[in-house]
Amino acid sequence: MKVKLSDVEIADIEETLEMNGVVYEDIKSELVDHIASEIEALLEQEDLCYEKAFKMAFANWKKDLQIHSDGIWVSKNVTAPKIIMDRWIAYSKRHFIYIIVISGLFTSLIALIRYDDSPLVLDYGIRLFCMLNLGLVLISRMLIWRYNTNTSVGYLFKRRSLMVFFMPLMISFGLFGLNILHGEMDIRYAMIFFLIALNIYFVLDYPLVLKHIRLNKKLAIS
Amino acid sequence: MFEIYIPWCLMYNFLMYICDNKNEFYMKSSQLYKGSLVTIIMKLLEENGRMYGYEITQKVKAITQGELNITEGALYPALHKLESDGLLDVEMERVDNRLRKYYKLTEKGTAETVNRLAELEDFIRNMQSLVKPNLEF
Repeated sequence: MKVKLSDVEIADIEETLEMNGVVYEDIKSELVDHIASEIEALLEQEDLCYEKAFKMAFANWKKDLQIHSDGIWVSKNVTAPKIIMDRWIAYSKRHFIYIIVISGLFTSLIALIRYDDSPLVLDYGIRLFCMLNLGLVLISRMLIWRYNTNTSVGYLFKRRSLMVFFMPLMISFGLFGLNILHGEMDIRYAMIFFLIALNIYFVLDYPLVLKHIRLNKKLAIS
Repeated sequence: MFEIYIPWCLMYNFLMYICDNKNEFYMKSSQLYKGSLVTIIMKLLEENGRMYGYEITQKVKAITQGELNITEGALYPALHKLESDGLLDVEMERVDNRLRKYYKLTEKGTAETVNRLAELEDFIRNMQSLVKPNLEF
């Protein structure tokens, strides 16, 4: 006979996952279904009580539910179960490579077109790019707040976009103008590379917001 | 459309002839297994349309008669990576009293499956010639 777990038993699994740090709906719903299916299979195949099957199913997840943190790729202050942390680390590593490659290409392009002839165009261009990003990040954070179901991608965006609040400081201190027009060419290009990298960092993260909204909509429908 | 068909028995034999028993397989060929995991998932999704995580682990177990066991710690990172690469799409559905996340191949994923299976077929052929030249599948 096909065994189906009751609502109380499903809530029990959910609660255990939350207590282990799986608080993001996108990951939690998937794990609840997996563990519940596993418990149901155990109850069908073996003569077990729910509690025993529950312990057996969770034993398989012990390693993946261990709390981890990563000071290099995410933040030392952020802790999450291994299954979630690994996902964030993989995302951050992949994006780091994209940022380096794209910023390198843009900086080379700028060097090739000899921006020295019109340095102010580049200076204002980058300032505009930064301001645009600042606005978009603020809108994105508002959207995440508006679609308030907690998702792992939404949280990752919120953490990663904290850096945007340094931008107004940099603009206020006139850091862009001073450095982009620096007399030393090496410093100029290093600064251009840095500023482009900073902006690409945000641009590449916007799909996280779209994914967060899509997940919220899917979760709301189902 | 051009399609490459690798029978499950061929993939199974390939994974199994590396070693003679289950324990050795888990221990010694874990790297090899890891490299094939994504292709195994994509092949299953190509055949079954859409599947959820637990179903994938059980399907692999059933096909390999319990010899090959995909752990949760390997399955979900692989699924999430395929999803973020745009090779898989996700559908959520309420089944009984819980949500179920189904994975299915995108158009890009379907094309990529053909490439990966072709790669795997070449690899199996080369391994066969190198390790056991007289072995017939």
